[in-house]
Amino acid sequence: MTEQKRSRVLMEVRDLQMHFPVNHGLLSRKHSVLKAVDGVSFSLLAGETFGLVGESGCGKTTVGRTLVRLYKPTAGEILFDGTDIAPLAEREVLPYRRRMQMIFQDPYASLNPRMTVSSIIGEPMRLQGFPEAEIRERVRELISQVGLKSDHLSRYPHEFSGGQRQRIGIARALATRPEFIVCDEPISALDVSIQAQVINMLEELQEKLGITYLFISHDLSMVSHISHRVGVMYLGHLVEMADMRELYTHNLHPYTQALMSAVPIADPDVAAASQRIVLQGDVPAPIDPPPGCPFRSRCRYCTGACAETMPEMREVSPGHFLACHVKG
Amino acid sequence: MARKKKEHVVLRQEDMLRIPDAETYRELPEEQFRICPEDDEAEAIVRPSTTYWHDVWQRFRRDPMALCGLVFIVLMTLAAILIPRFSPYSYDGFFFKSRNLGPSWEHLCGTDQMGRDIFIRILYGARISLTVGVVAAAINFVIGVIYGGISGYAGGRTDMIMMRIVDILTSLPSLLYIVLIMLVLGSNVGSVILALCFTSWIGTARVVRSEVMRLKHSEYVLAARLSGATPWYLLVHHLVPNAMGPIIVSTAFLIPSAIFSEAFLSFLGIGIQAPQASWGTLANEAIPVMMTYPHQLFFPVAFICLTMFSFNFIGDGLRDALDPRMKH
Repeated sequence: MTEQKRSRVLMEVRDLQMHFPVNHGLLSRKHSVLKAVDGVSFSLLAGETFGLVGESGCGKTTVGRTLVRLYKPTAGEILFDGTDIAPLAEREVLPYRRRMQMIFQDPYASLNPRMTVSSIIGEPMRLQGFPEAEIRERVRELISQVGLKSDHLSRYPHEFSGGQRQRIGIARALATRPEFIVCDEPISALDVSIQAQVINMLEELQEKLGITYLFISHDLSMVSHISHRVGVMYLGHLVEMADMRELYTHNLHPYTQALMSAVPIADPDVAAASQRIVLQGDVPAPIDPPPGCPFRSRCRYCTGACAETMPEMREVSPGHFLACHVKG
Repeated sequence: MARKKKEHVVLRQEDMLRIPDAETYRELPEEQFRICPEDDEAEAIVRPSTTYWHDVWQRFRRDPMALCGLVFIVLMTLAAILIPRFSPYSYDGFFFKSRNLGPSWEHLCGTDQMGRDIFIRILYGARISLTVGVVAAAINFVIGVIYGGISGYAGGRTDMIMMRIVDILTSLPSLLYIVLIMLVLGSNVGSVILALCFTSWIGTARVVRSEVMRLKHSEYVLAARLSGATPWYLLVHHLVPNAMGPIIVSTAFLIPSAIFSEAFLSFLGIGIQAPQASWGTLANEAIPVMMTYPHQLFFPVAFICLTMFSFNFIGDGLRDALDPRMKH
């Protein structure tokens, strides 16, 4: 995919917020809010892979699920091809559903064990009201596209290996010819030899079909392999966003630096020379967080300003965005 | 003690160094020669396709008690349907000459005070008992699945209200409303079934609710929602089929309890009325002559016991077969 081709904005996310109410029981008057995603803005170019990284519980998955409208966002805009799909009711989202899909993390949980492979792959089309003959034809086409055989179609998910199941999941995601696919840690449940197989397949499909990916992962090395641009999330906020190469060479946010230092290096000499930044403490709970920078409790550069205001996202160099009071 | 002479195989140097000649090594013909599985063979699945229900049957078959139970129920069902049709005896009437006979080849279980053949009356009773059991279980199944499904899927306030209604229903003393229903609607099979179904679906509903709550966040449900599946579609295609194991188990245990309740009601004289034969009424009629003609009590009670055992063994077998992990 050439640089010129990747210039049309397919999806623009503005100040996305997704809060979940936390119940304290039936009789409690107390109401807390879990701010899973709290003001995230970025845009996706058609045909690119945008990597979203961060540790467990930082809201990556919630962002992904909100973009495909599995959740109705609390606030913010999701402009999909120019239309804001954030405030739409479930019925109104329906026409957009065939244009966006998702690949799930766990290939064992994402396929219904009581359905045959052909009905699993055909399900999105069936739900979108495609004619039955077209579904049958498309399912055969898809199964060979992901490298499985058509006599696998009458089998059940438990008869397949993890990698094969994930390919079935990919075939299902491709069924309605979507322009946008959220890959929610699609390889973290697979073993390493299969990971490469699935990643290469995803890249090939992008090459051929021009699909835009939002690639969610906590594995920076894998994200760096597949992504064109990367956003780093921490506790519901996007803290840094840049081109993959830029982020690798000129990362600025202390959290990004810590993440980068944790990536294993194959060369032992280089590994010995590099300095490992070990973060102290735990991620604070995203329930009713205090004001200020979310990372300040674990940040070694923390100053007075960090406790008072939330740092704004600003462009430190072309295409490189950073939310930090101290750095940049 | 004689020591066994050990044989040592000594490999001499020249043996190991001997170069194999053409006679010991047969060359493979060209068409048989290949290094590793070819690409499309690597994906092939050798095991014949097995469905979930096939596996369940395989496990069920290995449980001798459950199998005995199933055989007994099947035989009794066939007997209850066929034998009364071809038998010279009737379940009602008055036969002065053959009163209170003991068991013989003519009257397998003897005759009662009215000279009626007890075996035939037991088979008529089996018709009623099995009908009551199966119909009550079927009604329970339908109401339980729908009620529990809605409650579990909707969650939140709806679930809370629906479950409190259920709590109120369980707290009613059952004998009270059963007697009331029988008095208002009259004593017949229909009102017995209605009385038994009034609250017994609650168990099934609770099972379905908890299963649906567990399954509704699974990734295959998310995948279906992603393509615009309605709650009804999810319940019918994903949630209920995957909750089928526990649902069937709870329904299977409902059959014997319904049969037992019917026998109990008829025994007390508020269920099926004479001259219609139910196992409960048969036992009731035999009570006054228990000391003189014990066989009149023994046979109906034996049938009740055997049926109870059979259904409970089937239920146990189903539970183990449907969820092997629950087996202790």
